[in-house]
Amino acid sequence: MAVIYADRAARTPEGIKLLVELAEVLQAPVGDSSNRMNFPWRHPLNQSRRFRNLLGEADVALALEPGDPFSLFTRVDGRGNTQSSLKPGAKKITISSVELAPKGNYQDLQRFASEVDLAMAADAEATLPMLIEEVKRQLPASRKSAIEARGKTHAEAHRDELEIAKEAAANGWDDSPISMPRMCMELYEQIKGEDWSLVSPSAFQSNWPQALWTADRHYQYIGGQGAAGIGYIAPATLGAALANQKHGRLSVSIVGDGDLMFGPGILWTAAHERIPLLYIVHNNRCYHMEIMQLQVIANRRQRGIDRVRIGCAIDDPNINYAMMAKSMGVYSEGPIENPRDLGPALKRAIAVVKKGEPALVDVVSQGR
Amino acid sequence: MRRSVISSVLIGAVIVAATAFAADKPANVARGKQLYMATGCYQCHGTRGEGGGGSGPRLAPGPMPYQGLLIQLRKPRARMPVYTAVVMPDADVADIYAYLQSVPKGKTAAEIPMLKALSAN
Repeated sequence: MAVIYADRAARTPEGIKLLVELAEVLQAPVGDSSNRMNFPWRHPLNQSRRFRNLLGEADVALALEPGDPFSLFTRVDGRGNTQSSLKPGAKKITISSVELAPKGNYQDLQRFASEVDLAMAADAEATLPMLIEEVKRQLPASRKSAIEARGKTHAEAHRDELEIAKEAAANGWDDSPISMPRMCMELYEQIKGEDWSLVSPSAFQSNWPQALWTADRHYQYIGGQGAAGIGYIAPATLGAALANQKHGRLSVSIVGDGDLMFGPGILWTAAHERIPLLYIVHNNRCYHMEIMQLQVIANRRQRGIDRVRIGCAIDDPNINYAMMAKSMGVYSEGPIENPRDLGPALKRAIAVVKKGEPALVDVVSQGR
Repeated sequence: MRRSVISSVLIGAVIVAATAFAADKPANVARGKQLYMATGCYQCHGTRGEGGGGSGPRLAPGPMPYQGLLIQLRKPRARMPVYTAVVMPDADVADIYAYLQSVPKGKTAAEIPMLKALSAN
């Protein structure tokens, strides 16, 4: 079985169409990194939620513009032990424009790149038409029924994954702090009838939008920063909202409280420039990614985790982001702790955004 | 059928015995909840064990067997922090397990119109 992994593969709307065509010709499962809109979220061949398992079964893995081949092709456990994500003998192929540039170990996140059987130095999107043509030419007619059967299996798995995600979202639905799937679904409920654009990355929300929402247009998901930059989301997504403004799209950004603390002045810029954007603060009251990483390391050293919150927790006192936004002229709601209050607050905030102004909703949330 | 019933009873007995052995005294739900928060379980698994998406799977309601949880803590699969007996003694694990067992069942997707309406097509 061949599997396709897309990281920053689609540069243009055409890239999405080409990737769909390649996947459909092969009826191959696609794992989307969620770093960009590469592949429609509800396409039957979108197997992102179970891609790690599929990777372990694959005979061939094709990675398009992988930013971090090491983490794709390697599993790392809590003790720091590594093993290949693929079974022995499986072939690893990459098509990446990163190979065209001089490289240092910083670009591999200070890790040595995995051994790859075939590393093609090329732009993935520009290469796809030739690859598709060659695949079509070489696919024997005798494989047609087997390929169709494979597609049906993947379609069924996609439906199953959605049902699994729905049940997972239901668990903890009424919790406070508010769960990520509840927050994402309350947002989707308000925007699904609009021409919306999620301008923030979704990794810190455990990719719940991809798991539950329907999206197939290139601007519906902008993706992430690409270099693990901190303090990116609040200002970068305002830029995306500015770009969306002339198209009349409804821009929404889910920003971490830690991220917003790096450059809160962007709220004043949003108000001053009258850029319509809905900020939702995923307020888990800490630099959460750091907390999780520190827990891993502290426990590995058997120190216990009683000090990992030092410098990482954002509490005592809690920050009122709604008040902060208000002080800079941005309409705001919150902090919201009861999930029942979230939908109405989002509705009021979106009404403000649709009038051409920014708005912010501060949501006291689970970590992930 | 009879064999599978006997097996289930035996497995259940082993789990109960293991839990009791680990604690030396009845497990304490309130202490387990406090430990669950203090030792950072909630950071990835949610404050009620509801799961944190890709960061940590669901732990409750209906947690995995005690021995499975203990093995996962001591020799974790995937990218979970290792919790040795030095940083989390067996008695603490037993109390945390009791807390997870106490978490009531939540709603199903079919009971939530927003989720029920979602379709793959």
